[in-house]
Amino acid sequence: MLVKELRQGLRTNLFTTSFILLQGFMVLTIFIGAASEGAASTAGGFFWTCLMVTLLIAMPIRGFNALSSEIQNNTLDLIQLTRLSAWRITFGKWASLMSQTTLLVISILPYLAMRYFFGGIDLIQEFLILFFTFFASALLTALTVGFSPFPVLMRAFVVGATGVLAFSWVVGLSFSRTYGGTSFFSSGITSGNWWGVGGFVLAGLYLIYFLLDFGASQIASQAENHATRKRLISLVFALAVILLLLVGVDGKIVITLTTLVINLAWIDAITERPSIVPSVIRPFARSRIFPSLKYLLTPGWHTGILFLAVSTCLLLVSFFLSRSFMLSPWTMKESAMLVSMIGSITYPLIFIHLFFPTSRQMFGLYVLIQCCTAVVTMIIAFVGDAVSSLGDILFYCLPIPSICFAALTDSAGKSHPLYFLLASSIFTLISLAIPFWRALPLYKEMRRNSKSLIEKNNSPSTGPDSSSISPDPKIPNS
Amino acid sequence: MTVPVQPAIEVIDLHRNFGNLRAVDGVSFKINPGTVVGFVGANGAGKTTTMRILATLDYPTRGIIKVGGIDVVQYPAKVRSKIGWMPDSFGTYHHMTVIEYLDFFARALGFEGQERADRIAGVMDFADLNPLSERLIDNLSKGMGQRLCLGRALLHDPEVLILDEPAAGLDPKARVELKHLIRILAEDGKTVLISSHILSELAEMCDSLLFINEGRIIHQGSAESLKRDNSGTTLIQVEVHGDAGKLIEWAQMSPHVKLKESLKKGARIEVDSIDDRLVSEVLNRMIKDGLPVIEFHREERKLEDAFIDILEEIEEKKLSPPPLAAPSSEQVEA
Repeated sequence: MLVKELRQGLRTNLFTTSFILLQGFMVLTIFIGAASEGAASTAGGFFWTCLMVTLLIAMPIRGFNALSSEIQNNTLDLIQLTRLSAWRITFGKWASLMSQTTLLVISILPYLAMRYFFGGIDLIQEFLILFFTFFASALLTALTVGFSPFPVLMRAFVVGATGVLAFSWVVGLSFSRTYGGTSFFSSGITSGNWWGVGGFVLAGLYLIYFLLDFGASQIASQAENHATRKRLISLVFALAVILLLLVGVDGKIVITLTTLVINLAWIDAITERPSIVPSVIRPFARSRIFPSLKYLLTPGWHTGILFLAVSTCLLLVSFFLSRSFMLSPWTMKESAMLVSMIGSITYPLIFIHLFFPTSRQMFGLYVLIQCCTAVVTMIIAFVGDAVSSLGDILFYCLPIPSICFAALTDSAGKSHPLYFLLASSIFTLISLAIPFWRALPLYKEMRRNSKSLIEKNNSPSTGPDSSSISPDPKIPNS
Repeated sequence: MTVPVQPAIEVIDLHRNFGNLRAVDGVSFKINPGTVVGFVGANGAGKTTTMRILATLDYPTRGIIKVGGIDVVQYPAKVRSKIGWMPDSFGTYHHMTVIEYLDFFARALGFEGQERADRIAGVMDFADLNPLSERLIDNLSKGMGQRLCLGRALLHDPEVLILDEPAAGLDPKARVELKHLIRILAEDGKTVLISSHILSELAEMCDSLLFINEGRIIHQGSAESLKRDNSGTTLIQVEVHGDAGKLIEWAQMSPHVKLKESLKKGARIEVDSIDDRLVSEVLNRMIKDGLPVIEFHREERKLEDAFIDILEEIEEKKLSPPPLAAPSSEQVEA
């Protein structure tokens, strides 16, 4: 895939134009820098603006067309009939774009060296900025490639999806605020907080993987199972991050990273298209040790809600154990925030399963509802903060889980955490119960298919010639 | 004692629903190895859906589908190594040459080194792509593109070829070339399932035809058996001097005659008998009635007519009222 994409990519007008323009601007930067000593900072600004526009806008934006072009040109079917998996297709697209970005970065290194010789720059710092810009470019490219299989309208919603990512970030920050002190970002590299930097680089790598696998699962045939890998990696990553508490890593960093990682995995899991075809069920049906794992790790929202419930329990136990080990008590406020965070993730399911039960664009609907809620939350929080007489508005809006965050940080409100905890718990339970009720026939279908596969496995006439198991007719197809 | 032949394609009670729409509704058929079978049906009849399921690109709602004895639902990966798929629209890649296109698919199919080169050379020879090897795919004609697509489908030497409307949009020369290539493949022992709207072309290429309508197989048989007129009618093409309207009017009014199709200079009429005496009477009457006839000749039944007749037969069955149930003993008594 990489070979093909590179062959095509290097011939595109956008790459050629970007390359030539970048070289032109770099030469200009050198001339500006060499003109006078005072112009060094102007040249620096110009240098970084050109580079960032190229690396953070021009190159990532090409990713938007990566998988959609294969769908529109009817070539995706042809590729799926080869040995290339959806993951290799998606990763190949991203790797090709990143190779082209690397080529651009390498081409500007001589100009960076020239700027050093003209004086006025800290080379190490410049390299660090270049590294983080490149890293951000990789992340943004993964975002655009990951969302590229969606229709144009949905791709326009990527902005909204980015809002969800930002929301996860904000959740983490809100959590960290309950610990008091400055935020992680204000400490950063300057205070030598290398654990944090390392953690966020790791989280960035995880995000790149997750976004690409998310894109892959959108184009994968029903026979491919991407859910197991995505969910397990997310869970292991989240648990590993929590364990960092034991080695003395700042709690704010741990919670921010954990929420970022697990929220994305949850959102993906609860909005995924179900697949109960034999090739997906077979590995679990044959497993003698954990056959029930199919209810957690096979693709689909129906297993996604169980995954969310089980992973929440696992994370809570890890948190409690880590905190107990550190002799730090768990407060009711923290519990309320945690439950309201889960409620914020799950509550769009109420609308989706009640009003759009046959929708094939569950993720799109989810993003739309979250975007609307984010706007409503911001308005309510703003009004509640700005108008003191309406301060209680936050309290009365508690059933909206995202309001809890605003309300919990509002010291003027009627902020006994028990109210928040109760409101959030009820709302979260309802938002899980409705999809669970709708998922019951799917669990039954899974059990039936699994039983048939086991029987077939045990029967003497095993092999490709035995009869087919029909997948659930209710499953919307790709 | 004869050994039963394993069908190359076996479809049993295939159903595929899209919401409330039954795209495929209980399709069953078998295709023996080494045969070329035409899949005929109107747009939306369920051809492409059935073919996509056979090609492992879609899942059935219900039913058993096997290619070379392997279940496509259970073992899609194994089936993929046995089939070559050519979709109705040939997807192009920009900024890519013919040889690069084949090289990409050969790599994707897992061929390496000399084997890859040999496979590519093989299909380029077969599909006569050598003169086009360095040409960009964007610049290929539709016919060249279809040849390239066929070459791509043959890279892994599949046993079964599934071709969805391969002749659509091709010029006559390209059609002849494609037909020729498919005949070579059939002689080579490949099983070919090919869909098309152009029935006459299918008749020339295929050993048998499958007619599908509203998701159901309505007829299966050879082109010859369909052309054989079992309807007890005679088709005559008549050409007149001047206005054909009179002929059409005459055909509509005359007994034993049915207008089949109006043509530019005449019409195709159907006489409801195969008796030469009656046919002769009809033709005589046509002259006596003053129609300026230039030419007439008896026609072989076209496949299109056979297809339309089958559809009409189905429609009639649908419209005809169900037979009256025999009155029960109680009713008789009453």
